[in-house]
Amino acid sequence: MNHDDVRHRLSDYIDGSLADDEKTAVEEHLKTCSRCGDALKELRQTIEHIRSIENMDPPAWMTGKIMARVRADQEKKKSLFQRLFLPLHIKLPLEAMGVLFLAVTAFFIYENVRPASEMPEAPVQIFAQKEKAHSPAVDKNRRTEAAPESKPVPQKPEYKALDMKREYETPPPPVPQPGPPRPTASPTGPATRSEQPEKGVYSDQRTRAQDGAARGMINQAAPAAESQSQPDSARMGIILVVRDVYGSAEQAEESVRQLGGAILKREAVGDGVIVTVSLPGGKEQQFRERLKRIGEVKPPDTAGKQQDGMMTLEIRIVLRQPERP
Amino acid sequence: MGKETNPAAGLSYNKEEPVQVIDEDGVLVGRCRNGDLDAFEQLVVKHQKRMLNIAYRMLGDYAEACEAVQDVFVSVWKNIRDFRGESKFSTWLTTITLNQAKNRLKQMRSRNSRIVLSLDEPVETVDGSMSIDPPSSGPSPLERLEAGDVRTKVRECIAALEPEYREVIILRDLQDLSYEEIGSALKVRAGTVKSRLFRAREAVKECLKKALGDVL
Repeated sequence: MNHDDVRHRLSDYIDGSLADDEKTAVEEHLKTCSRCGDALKELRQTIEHIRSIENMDPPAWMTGKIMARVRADQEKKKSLFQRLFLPLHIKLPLEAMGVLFLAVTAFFIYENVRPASEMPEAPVQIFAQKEKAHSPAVDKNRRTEAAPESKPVPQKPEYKALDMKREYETPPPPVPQPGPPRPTASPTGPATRSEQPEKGVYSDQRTRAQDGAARGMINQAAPAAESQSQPDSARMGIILVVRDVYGSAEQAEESVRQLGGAILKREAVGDGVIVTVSLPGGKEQQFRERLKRIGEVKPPDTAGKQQDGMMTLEIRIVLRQPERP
Repeated sequence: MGKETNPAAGLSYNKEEPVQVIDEDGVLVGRCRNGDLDAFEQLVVKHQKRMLNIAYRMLGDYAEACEAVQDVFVSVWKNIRDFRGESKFSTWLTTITLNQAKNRLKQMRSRNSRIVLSLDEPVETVDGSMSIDPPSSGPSPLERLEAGDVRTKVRECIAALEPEYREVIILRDLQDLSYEEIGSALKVRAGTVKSRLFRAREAVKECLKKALGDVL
């Protein structure tokens, strides 16, 4: 190892970073070379001078100023993402719940509002009004064509309510009444009925139910057509088939009063009326004769309930069925 | 003006062999990554003096060094999420400080180059007349030596070094970093550190020999 090799390694030798063999070689050279020994001494003194330089203390305001700048920078450059989502473990679940809540609310509103906004107001009624202007003969043909048109129309909640009601009701049978409207005997009931559209104009039973409800009809116990010809024997004493139910009912009640009887109850059932009366014993046959003048009496000779003084009769007054061609 | 170095450079140093080192500042750094300003303040208090002295020895100006250190810590806060722990936090901080100091050094030199330093040239006085630049009223080099101000001369000799030699002297002899830590901070190999350190020490020795003569 020559002088240059040694002097290039003196810095590392002082720092103790030479490998063992290099360190040994340098030390062997230094034992015999005074010039390199002087160079080592000078370098050590230089390093000592350098290391003698004292460190400066930072000014007292340094930390505060740094932190103030950092805080200002953080506030200024806080991204939208950080403000919205950080810390993730707190804000993300809350935001997810919020989004879910909004989604459920939106779905609920959409499902409940959409039918009302999309469906025109009572399309079936419009159809019924259009059909009103036509004759029953034409209505039979139109009914089969028009009925499918009203089917795809979405239902409003109020129609759903009617549908639910319809499940518990027995809809009145379609009884077409051809010919001009009959004269009315009562300003309330018959007059209202005379304004009722022909049964044939309805496109479906829902419209019938709606119309009936609007006119205050009592349909809860409306019997089927078959039940009119086969009345309940426990309640029915006499069946009176007439063309004008309410006018005939008043005539029958007048006959009861003339025979010394009394009107116990008058009940509207479907298209007919049940009048419960009490008659003095022995007046039954005379009463039947009077009823035969009003309409057809069924059964013709069966008596009502017999009592000691007075007898009770239930007269069911029903509308005459149109004769089939 | 030369190309400036990113003060926060060195984040991706040693990408090829990412090695997680044991770092006494690791816990505080982890809290800082989550936005904990209190943890960052602790790091500032702990490291600001050492960073200030590195900057001061590099720049030779205390006020400039204070400004540089502030910029360093603001930059560290901004980039703390990019620190992957492949070196010690103090080493990463040293790298940023050195880069910041070197950038400022270039700016200072650029400013100083526009100032005409008067030696024997006449200078313009307040009233517009030209006068001979008076001699400095401070102590002469001889007087300073007589006063035994060796350390001042040592600082001047260090300041006269090129930055790449100055920084190894500062890190090794003033901050007592190992060769590996210096290599990590400067992104050079340990052999390069040894070589630069040898040249830097020899330069300072020759500078002091000229200034101090037999005192050395």
